[in-house]
This record gives sequence, C-alpha cells and structure tokens, in this order.
Amino acid sequence: MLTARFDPAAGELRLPAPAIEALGRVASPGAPQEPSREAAGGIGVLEELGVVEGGRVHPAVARVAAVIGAPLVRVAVRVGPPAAPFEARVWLDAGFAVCARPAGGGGGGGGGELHEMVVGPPSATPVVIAGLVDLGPRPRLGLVGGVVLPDLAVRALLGEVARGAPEDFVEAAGVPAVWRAPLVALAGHARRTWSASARWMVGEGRVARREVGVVDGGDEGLWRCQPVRVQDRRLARLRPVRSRDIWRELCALLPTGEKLAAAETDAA
Amino acid sequence: MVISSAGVVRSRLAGVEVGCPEGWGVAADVGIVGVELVRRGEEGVALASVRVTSEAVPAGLGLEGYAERQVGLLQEHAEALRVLDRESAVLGGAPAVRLLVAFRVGLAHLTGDQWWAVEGDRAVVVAAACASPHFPEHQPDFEAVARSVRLHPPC
Repeated sequence: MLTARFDPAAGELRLPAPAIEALGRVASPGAPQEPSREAAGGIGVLEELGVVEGGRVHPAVARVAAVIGAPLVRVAVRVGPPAAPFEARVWLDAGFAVCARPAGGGGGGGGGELHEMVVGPPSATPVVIAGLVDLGPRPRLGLVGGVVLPDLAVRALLGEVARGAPEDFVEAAGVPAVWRAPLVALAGHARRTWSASARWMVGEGRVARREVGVVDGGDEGLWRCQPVRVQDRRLARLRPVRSRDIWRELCALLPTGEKLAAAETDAA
Repeated sequence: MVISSAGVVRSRLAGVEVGCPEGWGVAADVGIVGVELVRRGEEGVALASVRVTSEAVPAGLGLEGYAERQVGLLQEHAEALRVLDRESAVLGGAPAVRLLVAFRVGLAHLTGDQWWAVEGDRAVVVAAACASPHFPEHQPDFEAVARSVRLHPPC
C-alpha cells in the first residue's frame, strides 16, 4: 500500500490532498482566505515528512510550493464514469508546472487519496493531460454535426443514473433517428467521461476559463460534450470528433505569450 | 532545389514539389532527399518546420508496412512519444497514413503531424513539428503544405 513520501534525492513527493493545500499555504502566507480545516491538518503530514521544517519549506520543494501557492493558471482534470472517478490538478506559472495526479495510476489504482507530484515546463501540460485521460487514436464515425440531449439522458447513457435500456430513453428523449444507433453503441462501449478546465485571473477580479469535455467511447469514437442551457433546461451537445481535434483543444487550453504574461497571481 | 516566384519549392532529386505558405521560408535542401520549410519568429527563432522527403522502400512493403516501420522508428528514437491520432489521408494524390504524435526534445514538448505515402518503390514523408502550445496556430499551415505536395519522377 502506498504511503505519503518525500525523497528529495530521488525527486519523489507523494502527498494527500490536504497536505498539498497546506503546502501552498505555507509558501503563500499572504493568501487572503483562511485555510480549510483539511489544510490545517495537512501541515502535520508535511512536518512529519520533512517537507516543512520550522515553518519553512524544504529547498527541494520550494519552487513546487511557490507555484501551488500562487499560480498564474490552475487546471483541473476530472475523469468520471464509467471509469472509476479521479481528479488531478495542475498549477502553472510562466516557466514551471506542477501536476498532482493520483498515485498508483488513476481511478483508485492503489493510492487512495494520495497524489504524486510531477513537475515540468508549462508546455508539458497538454501531454500530461493526454496521459491522464488516455488520449489516443480512436475510430472515426463519419457522422457530421452533433445531437443535443437532456443532461440527464447523457448521464443515463453513461450509466451514472438508472433509466432503463438506452434504446428506450434515447427514443424518449426525442433523439433524431440517425443518432439513435450511434448513441446506443456509445452507451455500450464508453470508457470514461473526462474534462479539463483551466482558469486564470485577468485583472479586477475577473476570471478567464477554458474547458474541454469529452466522452471517450472507445471503439465508438470520441465525442465532444458541451453543456447547453436553454432557459432553465440543462442540456448537453454531443458531437463526434477526431482525437486530433481534442488534442488541438488541449494545446489551446492554456493562455500563452501576452495573455499568460497579463495573468495575475491567483493565491486563492 | 528550385524556388518559383509563386512560392512553389521543388526538389528535383527527391521528385517532390511543395507550396510554401505565407510567412514561411525555405530552410535548406534536406541533403538530397527533399525540402524543409520553416516558420520563424522574432530574431529568426524557428517556431515550426515541415520536412518533405522521399526515400526508396523495399518492394512489397506497401503503405501499411511502411507506416508500421515508421511508427517503430519513432518509438525507438523519439523521447516520451505518445501517439495521439492515426487516420487515412491522401498525399500528392496517393493514399497515405497521417499520424499525430507528441514527443519531447530536451525540455521542449512538441507535436508532430506526419503524412506517409508509398508510390511504387518510394515513400514520401511530410513531417511537421512545433511546440505543442502553438500547434493550433500552425496546424493549418501543416495541412496546406501537405495538400500542396506534388510528386514527380525523381531525377
């Protein structure tokens, strides 16, 4: 069983989520909000491992802590049903990125709530996300356009909520005939849903966001999933896409150049 | 290598002809095997490149066999290679395989967009690359170069 670990010589850092939050707090004592109860508990883990001694961050982790404490951009990657759910986070500044990903692989792969910390340049972020969500070649469906469904129907397709046989609720949702068979096939083959969202401050408290949402249908291809709101109805648009389309969106997820330079520190 | 006023670059030895997108330049004749186009930024820094080359292939290898061999070579030589997409395409009027990969060179994380076609006893390769965060802006030029490829008998 994996345990929290700090080995500066080997470059290994494995922490539970509260300790990661606490690490950012220690490095950014001017953070405006009170630390959560969990973060307050996390400081004990950091001291026990020697990550923090006498209120100071170990030099080997100083850069990691500084970026977590005051990033320019925050990225959250969420993987969900049918795969076992997990979440990973990335914090970036102009020259450094830190990723906290589930230890032992995603989806409850033995690490429990532990995260291993991985560092690299910001340009590594797209491929880090691709690794977390297993982005790779998928069949192309040859369907043009997309289909709008009630959000609940999408969740039912993916087995998140019980709604009977896919054939039945797809028809009940009023899905056009051309999309019914592909959606039923998707329900039978979907591997995971996932999203990657980035946010950064653009001045005067305004937040910029970009998000990519995907249903990975395995042999039934990749489907871009975008929320749609019509009055008070929550809908989702599903559209078959190529893996390269998703890659292009991941590459464009982060601000670059002048936009990144204009971002403000987000010491939330 | 011949460069026409219309921005068409031809390598007689390789038997390939490509269009040079606006804002791009010819980097060098890639030995005697093709053409390299480069998009440069401020102070001449290379931001993206496209190499168009040709090589002889063993009889009977075919497109699928050549593609498998190329993937194997990439996996052997490229650092941290991740194959992102693979699809059928057309290159210079010939059936082709198009592969999208991510890989690392030193600290740089790059995206590679490649087309491979086999015509008779030769293969033609279009190999484009740029830093991954800039792939969305360069991809249209990569595709324009691939679309512009014309094959001629090599001299």
